[in-house]
Amino acid sequence: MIFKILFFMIFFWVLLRLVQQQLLGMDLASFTILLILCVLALSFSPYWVERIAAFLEFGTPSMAIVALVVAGLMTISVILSVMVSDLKRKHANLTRQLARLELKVKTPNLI
Amino acid sequence: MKILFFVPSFNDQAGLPELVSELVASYPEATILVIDDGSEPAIFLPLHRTFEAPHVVLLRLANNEGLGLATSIALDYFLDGGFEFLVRLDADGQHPQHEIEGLLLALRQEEADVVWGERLNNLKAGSPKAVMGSVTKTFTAWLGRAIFRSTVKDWFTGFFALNKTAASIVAGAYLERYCEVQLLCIFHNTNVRIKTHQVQQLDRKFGKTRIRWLDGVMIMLRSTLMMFLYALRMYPK
Repeated sequence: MIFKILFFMIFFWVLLRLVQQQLLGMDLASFTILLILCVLALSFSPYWVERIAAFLEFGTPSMAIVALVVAGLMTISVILSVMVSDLKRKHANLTRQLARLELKVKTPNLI
Repeated sequence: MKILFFVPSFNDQAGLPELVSELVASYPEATILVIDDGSEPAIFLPLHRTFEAPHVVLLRLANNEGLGLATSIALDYFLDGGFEFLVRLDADGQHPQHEIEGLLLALRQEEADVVWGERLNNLKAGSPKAVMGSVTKTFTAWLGRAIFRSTVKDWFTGFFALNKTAASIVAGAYLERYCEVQLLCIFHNTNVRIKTHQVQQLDRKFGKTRIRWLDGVMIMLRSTLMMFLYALRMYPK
């Protein structure tokens, strides 16, 4: 239990750092937290761990293997999220600049 | 006094013409900026009266970019245009127009930089979704009190007014999709003078809420995350 809490705290801190550095958007960070909470909740239920392991077609279903796969997927998802966040931010900045120009053209007397 | 009304809109065609006409009638000198955040079909404003057209600006964004970006665009326009006060209100008729003066009063008297339209009737329990919404609002207000010693009870209102001091502070920030909590975090952190003005939110005249279950969960997580960043002094760059 302590390890799970510790794992979550570290993960949460890494996400906060990424958000602070503007490398990760708030929405994607929130979604990742939601996922990790689901995984942690899952770890309390051996039945679902076995089901997932069976789905992943592992011969010996165990939390260790599932955790490894989930951790790998989570890492990939965070990396992809960082890339998506970067693109979203650039897109937003461009849209903002274009909107600013459009408003200047539309209301030349005002600005 | 140069006032800019900012009305973000996503598929609010039904109520917008009426709202804009009423605002023009009540504040003939003010400018109304409507940002169509990628509505399908695009928002159309029949600016039939000659006095309406020069005061109403409609900007269409090609995609649904979210409230954060629309607010940033409005802030840029506000600062570029040399306006004195910015009032944000929704297009669905929930924000009582007779309360606008209440928002502006503290700004005019220079008692505050931001006046937050705190809804007295925003907590509801009619359905599980409404209960969840109320829990989120109460929890966020509690976090706000714990972290910022804030007295604001309604962190999610879209009805507020601000002056140039507050606008120039938030204009530099990258605002998230639902940005009200983020705005308040920035205001509290920069010691902007915040006042609340209590209002009775009206029933929605047009359309229905687009916030679904997952959106509700995400809003709660996002606002909690935002407040944690400020609590840990990890201010977004």
